[in-house]
Amino acid sequence: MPSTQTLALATAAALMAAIVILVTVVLPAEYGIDPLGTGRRLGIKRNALVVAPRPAPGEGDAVTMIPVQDGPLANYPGEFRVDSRELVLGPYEFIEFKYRLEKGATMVFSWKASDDVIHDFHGDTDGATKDEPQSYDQQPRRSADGSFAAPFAGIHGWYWENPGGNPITIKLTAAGFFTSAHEFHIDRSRRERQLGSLDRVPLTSAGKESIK
Amino acid sequence: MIKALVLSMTVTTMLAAPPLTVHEHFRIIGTITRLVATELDVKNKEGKTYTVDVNKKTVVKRDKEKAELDLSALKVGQSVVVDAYGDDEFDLEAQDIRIVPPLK
Repeated sequence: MPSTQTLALATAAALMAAIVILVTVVLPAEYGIDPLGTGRRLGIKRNALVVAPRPAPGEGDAVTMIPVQDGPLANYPGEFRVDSRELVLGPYEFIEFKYRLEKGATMVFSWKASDDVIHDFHGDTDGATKDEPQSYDQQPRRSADGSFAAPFAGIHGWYWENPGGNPITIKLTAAGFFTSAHEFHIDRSRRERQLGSLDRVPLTSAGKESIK
Repeated sequence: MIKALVLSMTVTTMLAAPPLTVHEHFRIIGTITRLVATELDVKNKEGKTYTVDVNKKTVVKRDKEKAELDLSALKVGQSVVVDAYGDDEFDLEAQDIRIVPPLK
């Protein structure tokens, strides 16, 4: 039978361990309170924006499209991809649509919504689970046209939310050195989408173009 | 002494382990079909019913209004948008509930 002193010491030690676990792990995971930053480092911080699991690094990639910078020029080991699609958001629904880009890889994009949407253009690092996504633009908009160079390897794209009761259509067109496209739905399903190759782009033969 | 310490710390760690599961975000859009003090059932447009826990921390608002309402503002038959967290769809706690106009 342990002595009273032993029991008291054991209780105190257990209490200390419980407090350490509470502050470093339970509070970040359960309540999003992360005073020591351990939740973020361990990838367990509760986050409202995260809606679906991230693809594993390199998932769906045929070639790793890492740019090699040569002055103002960046060379890639393969051709760029093109993508164009229409997404429909039902009442109060949201969707995330993201492309996978290596660090420094670029894309250009245009999107237009049929009504006002809540939006967040952001990126998630490879293999991230609950880490905070990095937001690039959250300004209220109905459309956007831009170019983007990925600050880190991962999936980068848009969170669009329909704030009202009528369906909203979003038309998105992008071209760039992305290697896969991922769609995250409100029912927590994730779909990898087919990307277009340059063969889809109609060619105009030299000399046949009429100049006005 | 060491045995007692190891035992105490093991038990503490085991007790702390269940809450470590990372909670996921669920959005449920549908109609309230059942309502009691601590939980409500919401049926979505696909006909699937989710049971969601509610408590004092649950924030209730009416569509785009900023004013917070009491849980008593919720009624069976209302259309709602529920943002809930849980380990899976069978263990959900409502963080925000928006009462919205009837869904089309």
